[in-house]
Amino acid sequence: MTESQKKGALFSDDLSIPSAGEVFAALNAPCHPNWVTLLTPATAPVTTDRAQLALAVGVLAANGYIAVEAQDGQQVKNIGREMMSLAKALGVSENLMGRGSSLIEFAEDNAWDSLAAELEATENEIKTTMRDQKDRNLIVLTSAAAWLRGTEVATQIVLIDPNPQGISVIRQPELARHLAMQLDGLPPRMKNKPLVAKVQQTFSEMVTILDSMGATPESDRSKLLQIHDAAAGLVKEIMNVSGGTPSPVPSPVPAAATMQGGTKP
Amino acid sequence: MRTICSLLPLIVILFGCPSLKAVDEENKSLPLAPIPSEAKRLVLETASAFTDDGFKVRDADWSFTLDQAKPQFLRVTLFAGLHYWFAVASAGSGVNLKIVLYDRQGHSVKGEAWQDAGTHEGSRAATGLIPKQSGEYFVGVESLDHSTDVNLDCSLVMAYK
Repeated sequence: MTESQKKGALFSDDLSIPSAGEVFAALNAPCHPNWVTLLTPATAPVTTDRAQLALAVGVLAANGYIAVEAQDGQQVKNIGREMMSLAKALGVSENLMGRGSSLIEFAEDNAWDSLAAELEATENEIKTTMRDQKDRNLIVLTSAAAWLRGTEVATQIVLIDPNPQGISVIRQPELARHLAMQLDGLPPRMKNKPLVAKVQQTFSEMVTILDSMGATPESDRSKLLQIHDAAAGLVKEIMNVSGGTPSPVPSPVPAAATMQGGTKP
Repeated sequence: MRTICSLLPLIVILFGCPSLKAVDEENKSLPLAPIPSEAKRLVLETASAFTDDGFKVRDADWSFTLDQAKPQFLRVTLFAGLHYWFAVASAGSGVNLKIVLYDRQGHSVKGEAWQDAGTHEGSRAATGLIPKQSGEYFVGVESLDHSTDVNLDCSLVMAYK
């Protein structure tokens, strides 16, 4: 494969970014996470800001996979309902009518594989309608937020069980770089919104951190903690959750850098 | 009788045909799904074999036109420990399709290859891989037949477990 072929290779929103379900599957074998402890209540933010709504769709989609891994049918149903209401607020719900009832049906039958597939289909259906409505920018935000929430949970898992294979799942600077570039390419009216600007800045900082990982287990742990805190803080902001610490992880090593909650002076 | 027959279309227009109306109402409540291309239909049919084996097929496909002299490439992130299959199909029969996986440096990675022996509709191929390392990979699709000069509409899906 030549360098020009590598450069010209397609980066697809749908296939080049691993689904949260895929990331979690990759963590299951080496880390054996206790998914029930990683569940958070699913409540969509009350806002009319389309950028924030699109970000929230991504967070909820990732939450859905956590609920599937935890085999919590009620949570999956709640998340499905919240995703529908977000889709309605974004005006992209017309193709989703059958999805809600499928989610409920599969949750009641404990059909976890079908539920995971249905969640991915729901997220993609929302993205397809965004694309059809020439709202491609919103897709970038949804994908970024799903990855952000996935990273928050993945780092939490690996901080509890620092398994090298688990760390390698998170250490994906190329993927983070692509998402950062996509966010950077958003039109100014969207990029300049404070929340979107914060997401973009956090991704750029994550690229730097991910690139610098691999020196020592101690420094890696400190860097994972920085990534976790930044992702967790930002997810809370997207979902309009105020106060409290992000999510419980053991933190014997203090974070060395200043990156906290995705903010930077 | 003749008057009734001549008025029947008008009656149907004014009051509607009950059975047709019922079908129409039913259709209104169904989500409108896009019609998949023939290549997508074939690749999903191929991937259903993986589903039977416990694989999850990603709910997306990569639709592209393959110029027979020029391979096409897609970036993906794969994780160590997971087992992946990539399948490609085209509606054109008798085309020798091939999927090659490359690591981040662009070196080909040996995987399990499957090629349709011509027993199925269209042309199909698949490649499986259990990556040793997590990271960025490239999926290359090419046609091994360079004799014809036709562009092929193809569809690729990926599955993991």
